[in-house]
Amino acid sequence: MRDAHTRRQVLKSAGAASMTLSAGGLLAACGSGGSSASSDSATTDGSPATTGKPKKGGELRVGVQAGSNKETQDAHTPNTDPELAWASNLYEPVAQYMPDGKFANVLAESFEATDSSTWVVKLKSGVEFHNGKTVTADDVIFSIRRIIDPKTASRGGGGLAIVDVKNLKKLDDLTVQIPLKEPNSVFDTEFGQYFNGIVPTDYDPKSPVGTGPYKADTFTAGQQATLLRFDNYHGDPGYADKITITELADPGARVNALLSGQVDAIAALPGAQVKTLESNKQFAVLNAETGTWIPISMHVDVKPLSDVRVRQALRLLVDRKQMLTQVLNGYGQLGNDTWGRQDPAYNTSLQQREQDLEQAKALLKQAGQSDLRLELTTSPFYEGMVSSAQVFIEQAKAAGVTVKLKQLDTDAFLANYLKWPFTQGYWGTRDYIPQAAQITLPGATLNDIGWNDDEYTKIVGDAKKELDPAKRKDLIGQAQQIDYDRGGYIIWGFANVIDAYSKKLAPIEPGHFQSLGNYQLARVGFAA
Amino acid sequence: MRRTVIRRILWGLLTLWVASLLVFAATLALPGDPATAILGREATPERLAAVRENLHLDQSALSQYLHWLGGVLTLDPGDSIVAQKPVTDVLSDRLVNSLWLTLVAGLVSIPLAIGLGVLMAVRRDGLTDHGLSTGTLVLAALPPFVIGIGTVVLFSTEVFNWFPAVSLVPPGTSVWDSPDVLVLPALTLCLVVVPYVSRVMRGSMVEVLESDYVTMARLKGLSERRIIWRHAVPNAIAPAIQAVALALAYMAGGIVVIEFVFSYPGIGTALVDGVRNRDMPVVQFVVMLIAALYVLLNLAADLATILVTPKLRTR
Repeated sequence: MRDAHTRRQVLKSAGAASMTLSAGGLLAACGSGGSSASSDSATTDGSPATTGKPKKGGELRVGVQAGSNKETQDAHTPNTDPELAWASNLYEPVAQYMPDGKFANVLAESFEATDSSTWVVKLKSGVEFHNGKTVTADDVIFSIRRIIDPKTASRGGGGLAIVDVKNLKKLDDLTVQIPLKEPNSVFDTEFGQYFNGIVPTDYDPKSPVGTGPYKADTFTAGQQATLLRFDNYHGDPGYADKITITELADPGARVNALLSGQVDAIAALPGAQVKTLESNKQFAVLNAETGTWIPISMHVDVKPLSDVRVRQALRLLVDRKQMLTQVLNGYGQLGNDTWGRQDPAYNTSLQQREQDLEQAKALLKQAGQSDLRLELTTSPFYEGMVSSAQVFIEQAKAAGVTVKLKQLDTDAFLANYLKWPFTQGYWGTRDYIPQAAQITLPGATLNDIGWNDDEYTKIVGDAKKELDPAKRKDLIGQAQQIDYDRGGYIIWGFANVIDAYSKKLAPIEPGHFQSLGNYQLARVGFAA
Repeated sequence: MRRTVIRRILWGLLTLWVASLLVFAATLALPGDPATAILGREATPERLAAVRENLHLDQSALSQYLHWLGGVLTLDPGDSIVAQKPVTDVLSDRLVNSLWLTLVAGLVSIPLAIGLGVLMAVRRDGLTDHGLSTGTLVLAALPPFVIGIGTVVLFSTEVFNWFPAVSLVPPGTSVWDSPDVLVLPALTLCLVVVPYVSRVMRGSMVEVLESDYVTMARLKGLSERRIIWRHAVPNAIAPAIQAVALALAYMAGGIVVIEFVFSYPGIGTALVDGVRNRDMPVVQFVVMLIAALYVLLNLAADLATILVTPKLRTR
């Protein structure tokens, strides 16, 4: 479930997202109509314009999207935006992707496979929990068990389901052997997730104890949490003495809170506000590229979409650059009908697919579908879904394809999710294989395109066994070629995450999937 | 008079009952149900069934309604689905916050509106009257959220930086610990209410000032101040009382929009959150509360009108 946070977050508070995000999406769509925002201006100015190095001290006040008053500070169930924000600072996994995109050890000294079905974690020695206890192999085993336990309803439970729990073995005080029920050559990145934090064996989520750079102070669900710097932190200590995380449901209120100096940084800046804040010298816009995609999903087992020519025609009639401009205000990257843009194995040799109406019409004619009519089912359950559907419908007209929009309330949409033959979705998983496990491999629980392809399954299965990164990259590239040639998704682009902050803060390094440098707030400090 | 009052109260109760039916029907009509809202896309039929049973959603609409109505009558609106705590616990702080906001706005806006109404009537067709009339009519034409955003732009973000744009009240503290969070929401409420009440007061006052007894008083040589405050205003106030009651009732409802604009932690934002999360007990409770307030204020206005109108008082 890597980086699927935003999707889950939207799922759990689906209404919330539909409310705030659709407003943003609407604004974004309106704001960009006919504007000349180009995708290159978005990609290049990711580095903020503030100067100065961060200094120690001060209270860092952050405004995030609203969760709900059922949220918790549990290490293993962060779903809403605020839950991500505090979990990323209270807890740490054994290893994780850093804002610079490198996968690095955090609590682990080393984390390696002895074969593709057996992994060994060796912990750094002398790492302390917030309660003073030292982190040991027992805590790792306890944490894995807790994540897998269905009662926890954890984020990471699905990814760790392949762990052979009974045979988890403590090799010594700091070393754990993790046997898998089936090979997985990327298990390190599966376990190495911010939502798989290591917690002590006597963990109680009501008094959230972890190893992170900040420890819990106050917490009121649905409103606010405060964190204090942990002085015995094992790594580089945080800059701010205190962090206050405030939930602000309305995007406009978040921007106003920033403008009036009530908070120092905000998550999820509405697209329509980006230009305004960029022109304001007191504030900086943080623009982070992600692997988040909002596809148009075609069921490959339902007529007429079961005809690959029809699917390819629909892909060819999309003007992807216009999609980025209209739907994402230009803040996104082009997609090529496969996912895992940030995976080191992403297949960049595939030719960028572009709009080709002649070929699209020819393919439809061949398939006997010159007068193709479809119904596209969508809902405002993630920002950009409805607006991309609307742009797609306009573009389809040019190729003589009539698409009717069926927009449902998010609940009604989810009630029959996976069943709509021509629909939309939203995914944020970083790497190729873990995402495939959710949607396209046998046993995937969220297969929304009816995908079942033996050749594909074999290739991805081989990739899961392959420990050599180069060979694995080759296999994943082949799987992506299949997506490109006959897959069920129109992946027109990847959305950026855009935040804003006061220039009283030192420049924040953009993250790659979450707001404010992946919410690693220990790295954020006031400018010296 | 007693009969009038009793009849009014009975009508009020009937109105509330009808409101309860409407509220309940509306929450039933919302697409999706709380169970799917809670479980999201990963809801399995078994989990859905379990949640529905917990929430009595598997029962008939009538029995759900009776169950809920029984709770409302015994002042036990049940537990919030989302917070898993009694609705009253969830809402108590927010209710207090909203009451303070309405109270502050009411205490400022009502005397101000009446004063302005009198001023406009006295200076009828003068520069003051025209200026104020134009101003109040423009304000009256603007939707509350536009006024709210306008005050933010003017006093908080773009022009001046005087007051907080967002009413952040740290959990466990009172709005009076940082009273500046009240300023812009209360100002917005005032700007929404003042035009209406002052227009009504102006009209009523103009009428009274043209009446024979005022002319008589003038002929008798009474001072203008005495004529206005002792003779004219008490007779002009009756229609204004109705307007004030409507304005206060409007505040109780309009507060939903205004609290949302300022993220003010009151019952209005609780209602928005409740709808968002399909937290029916919270939605139903807040809407019933607002409805009850409407009925109560109208009743109070009727009583006050009776009290200031001798003809009605003695009937």
